[in-house]
Amino acid sequence: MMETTVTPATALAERVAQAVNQAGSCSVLDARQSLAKAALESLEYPTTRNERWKYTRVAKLRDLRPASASSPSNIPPVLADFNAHRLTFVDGQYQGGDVVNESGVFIGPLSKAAQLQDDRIKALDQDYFADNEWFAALQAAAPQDGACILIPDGQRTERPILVHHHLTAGDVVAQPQHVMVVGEHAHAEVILWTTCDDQATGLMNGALTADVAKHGHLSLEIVQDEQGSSHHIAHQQFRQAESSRLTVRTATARAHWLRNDLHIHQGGQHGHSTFHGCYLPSGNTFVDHHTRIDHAEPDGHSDELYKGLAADTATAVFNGKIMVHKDAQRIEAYQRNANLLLGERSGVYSKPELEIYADDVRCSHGCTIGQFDAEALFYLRSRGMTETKARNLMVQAFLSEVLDGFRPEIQQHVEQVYAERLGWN
Amino acid sequence: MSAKEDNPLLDEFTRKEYEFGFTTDIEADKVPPGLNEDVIRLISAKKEEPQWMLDWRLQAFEVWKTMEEPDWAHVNYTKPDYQAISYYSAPKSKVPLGSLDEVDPEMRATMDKLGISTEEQKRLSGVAVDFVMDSVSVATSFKDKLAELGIIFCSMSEAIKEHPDLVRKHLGTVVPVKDNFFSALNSAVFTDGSFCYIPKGSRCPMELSTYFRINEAGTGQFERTLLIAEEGSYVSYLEGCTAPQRDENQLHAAVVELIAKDDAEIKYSTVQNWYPGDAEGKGGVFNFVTKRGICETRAKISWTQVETGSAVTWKYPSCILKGDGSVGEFYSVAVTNNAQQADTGTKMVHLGANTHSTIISKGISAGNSQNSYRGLVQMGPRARNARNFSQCDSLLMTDTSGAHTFPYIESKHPTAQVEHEATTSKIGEDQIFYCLQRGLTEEQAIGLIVNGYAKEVLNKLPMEFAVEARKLLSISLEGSVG
Repeated sequence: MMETTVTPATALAERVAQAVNQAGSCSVLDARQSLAKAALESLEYPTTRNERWKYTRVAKLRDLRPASASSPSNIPPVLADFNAHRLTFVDGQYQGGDVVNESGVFIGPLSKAAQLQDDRIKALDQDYFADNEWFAALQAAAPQDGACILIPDGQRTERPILVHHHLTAGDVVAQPQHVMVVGEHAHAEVILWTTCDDQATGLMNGALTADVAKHGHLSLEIVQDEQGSSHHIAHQQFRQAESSRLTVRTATARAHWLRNDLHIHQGGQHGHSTFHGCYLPSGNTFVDHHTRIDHAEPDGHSDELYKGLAADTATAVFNGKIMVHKDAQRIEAYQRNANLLLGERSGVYSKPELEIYADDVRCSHGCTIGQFDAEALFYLRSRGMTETKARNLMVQAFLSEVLDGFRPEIQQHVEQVYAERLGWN
Repeated sequence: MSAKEDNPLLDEFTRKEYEFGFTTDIEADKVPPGLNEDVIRLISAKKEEPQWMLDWRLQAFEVWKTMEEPDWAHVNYTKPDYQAISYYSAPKSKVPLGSLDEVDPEMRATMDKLGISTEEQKRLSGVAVDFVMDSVSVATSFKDKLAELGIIFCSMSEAIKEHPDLVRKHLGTVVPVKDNFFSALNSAVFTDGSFCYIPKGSRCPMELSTYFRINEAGTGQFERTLLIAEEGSYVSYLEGCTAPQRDENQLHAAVVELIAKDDAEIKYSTVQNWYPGDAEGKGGVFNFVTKRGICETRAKISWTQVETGSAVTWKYPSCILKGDGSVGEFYSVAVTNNAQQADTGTKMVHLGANTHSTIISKGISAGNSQNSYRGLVQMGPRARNARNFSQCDSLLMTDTSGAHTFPYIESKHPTAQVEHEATTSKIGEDQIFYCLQRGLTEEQAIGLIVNGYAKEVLNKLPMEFAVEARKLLSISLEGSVG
C-alpha cells in the first residue's frame, strides 16, 4: 500500500477546502478547478527561500484552523453618500446589491452569472497565478462568490460599480473570485473595497481576473481598509487586447498583513496600462506589493508608480517587474518606487526589475528609500507649523502623486485613515 | 530585416576572432581529472603545504560535497562535470621567482602575445606583475623593491610557506568556505593566486598586477587572491585574464578577498577577457567568481571591472562596509556579444554608520547575448546616515540580445538613503545621425558614443589598464549596431 504523507501545507489546503465547502463555494468551471487542485499538489508551499516570497513570511499561516463564519453583523458602510451600483459580499458569500442584467450588461454575483451560463465567464479559464502560485491554486481549487461584471461591446456603465467585500471576526477563510470582462470599445469603472472586522484573524485569499478587449477601457480603484489582524493575499490578473486601456490604483489604507500580486499582460499592440499604489504600514504590520507587466506586443505603454511609508516596526515590500518580450518593439515602460522610512525599526525591501528582450525600447525604473527632507521640515516649521502638522503635510504631499489619481471621495477617505493612524490629526 | 543585413560591420564584429586564442606549447604537470580527497592531498603535497592548509582544504571539500550548484542567476548553461576537470596543472619548467631572465622562452613569448610584456611593463610603467598560468604562479617581478617597503607581493603558495601566520589569520575571513558552492570548491582545490600585504601607513608606490591564463585543455583555474591593507595604507591592484580557444567549456572559479583596515584604501581593477566561445556559443570559459572586501573604519574599497570575455559570467564583487564612515565603490562595464551570458553586479552591505557606496554599472548587449545586472544594497539597523547611489544603464545593440536588471534594495534604518535608477535603451539614432553629419563614419560614431557611455567607468581605471580596456571595448563594439 502506498504511504501518503500529509505535509502541513496539504493539511491546510484540506482544512481550507472543507471550510469553504461548508460555508458555500461557487463552482464555475469544473475543469479549471480540477487543474488548480492538481497544481496545488505539485506546487510547493512558499517559503522565504523562494525568490518571490523572499521577504514575505507565510509560515505562520500554515497553522491556521479555519472556523465557520459567524453571522454577519455591523458591516461597515462604504462611501455612504456615493452614487454607485453596489454589490456586497461577506466572507465570500453574496450579501445583496443592485443586480443589472439587461442588453448584455451583467453586474452581479458570479454565482448568478454561472446560473445564466454566460459564456464570458470563461475568462476564468486561463489563470497564470493558479498555475504557478500555491495560494492562488488554493483559491482556484475552492473559489467562492465574488463580483461578476460583464460589459458588452460599445457599452459603458453609467455609474461606477462599487464592490465591497467584508471579512468577519474569527479565523474565517474567504476566497472570493471576481471577474470583469470589458468588451470592445466598452468602458467600466469599478471600485473594489475590502474591509475586515476588528476581531478578524482569518485569511482572505481572493482573486480577480479581468479581460479588456480591443479599445476597451477598465478603470479600477482598489481600497484596502482592513481592521483586525487577518492575512490577506490578493491575486489580480489583467489581460489587455489591442489598443485597450487599463488603470489600476491601489490604496492600502489599513492592513495587518497583506500581499498584493498584480499581473498585467499586454497581449495586443498599443496597449496602455497605468498602475499606481500607495501603502503605509505602521505598528507591527506588513504590506507587500508584487507587480509584473508583460509587454508581449509592440508599441505598448506602461506607467507604474508605487509610493509608501513604513512606520514603527512595520515592513513594506515592493517588487516590480517589467518584462519586454522579444520583438515587442517601441515599448515605453516606466516604473518608480519611492519609500520613506519613519521608524527606527521599520524596514523596506524593494526590488524593481527589468527584463528586456527587444532593443528599440525605452524603459526605466527608479527606486528611492529615505526619510523626510530635513530642510523642507525646517522650512515648514519656520512658517509656524508644529512638527506634527509639518510632517502630516509632507506625508500628504508625498502620497498625493498617487492619491490624486483616485476619485476625491476615496482620496479623502484614505488620507483621513492615514492621518488617524499616524496620530497626526 | 535582421541587424546583420542592416550592417555589414555588425556581421564582421559577430565573426570577430578571439585575439588571445593561442595556446602555449609548454609541458605541463597535470593531475588526472577528477575530484576526491586524494586529489586534494596531491595538490597540497605538490605545493608542499603545511598540515593546517591541507586540513582546511579537506574541510572545505566536505562542505562542498553537501552543497548544490546555484541556479538562481539569469544564465543558462550545462553544468560542468566536476569529475571531468583536472584540478592541477602547472607548467613543468618552474622558474625561481623573481628572476625573469630564466623564464622559459615559450612562456616569455606567451606573455608577449598577451600584449603585457612584463619587461616592458617593468621598464615603462613600473608595474609589479605576478603571472599565473593555469594554476601556478610563474613569475613575480619587482619583489625586492617592494620588500624594502615591507610590502609582500607574492604567489599564494609562496605566502603559505613563508608567511603562514598572515595567511592563516585572514584566509576565509571575508569569503567563508560555506559562502557558496564555488567558494567551497575553490577553498578545497585552489592552486595558486596572489597574496599581497601592505604594512601600516605605507603607500604602495606602484600598481600591483596579476595576469591569469588558462592554458592546458581540460583544466580549471581556481585561484585565490588575498589582499590585506593595514591601517592607513594604500594599494592599487590590477588583474587581467585570458584563455586559449577551446571547444569545451573551461571553468574558472576564483575567490578574491580584500581586507581594508582602518583608513586603508584598496583599488581593485579587473579587465576580464576570458575566451567567450565562438559565435554559436560553443566553448568558452565559465567565470564563476566570488570577490568580496571588508572595510573597517573610514576604509575604502573600489572595484572597477571591464568584462568583455567569458561564455558565462557569474560575478558580484562586493563590499562589506563594516566600519563607520567606510566607502564602497563599484564601477563596471560589461559587454556581451554572440552567445555570451553575464549575470554580474555587486553587493553593498552597509553595517556601520555614515557609510557611503556608489554603484555605476553599464551593460552593453550585442549579438544574441544576455546581460543582467544583479545587485544588493542593504542598509543594516546600525547604518545611521548611510548613503547609496546606484545607476545601472543598459545599451542594446541588436533585437536578439537581452538586457536585464535585478536590483535588491533593503533598508532597515530611517536615516539611510538609497537611490537607484536604471534605464534601458538602444543607441540613439539621432546621436549617430549627428555624428555622421559631422563627417564621422558610422563605426567612429558608435565608438564615440559607446566610449562616452562607458566613460564614467573607464576613467576609474589606472592609466595602463585604461588603454587596454579602451582597446578591448572598441574591438568588441566595432560597428555593432544597425
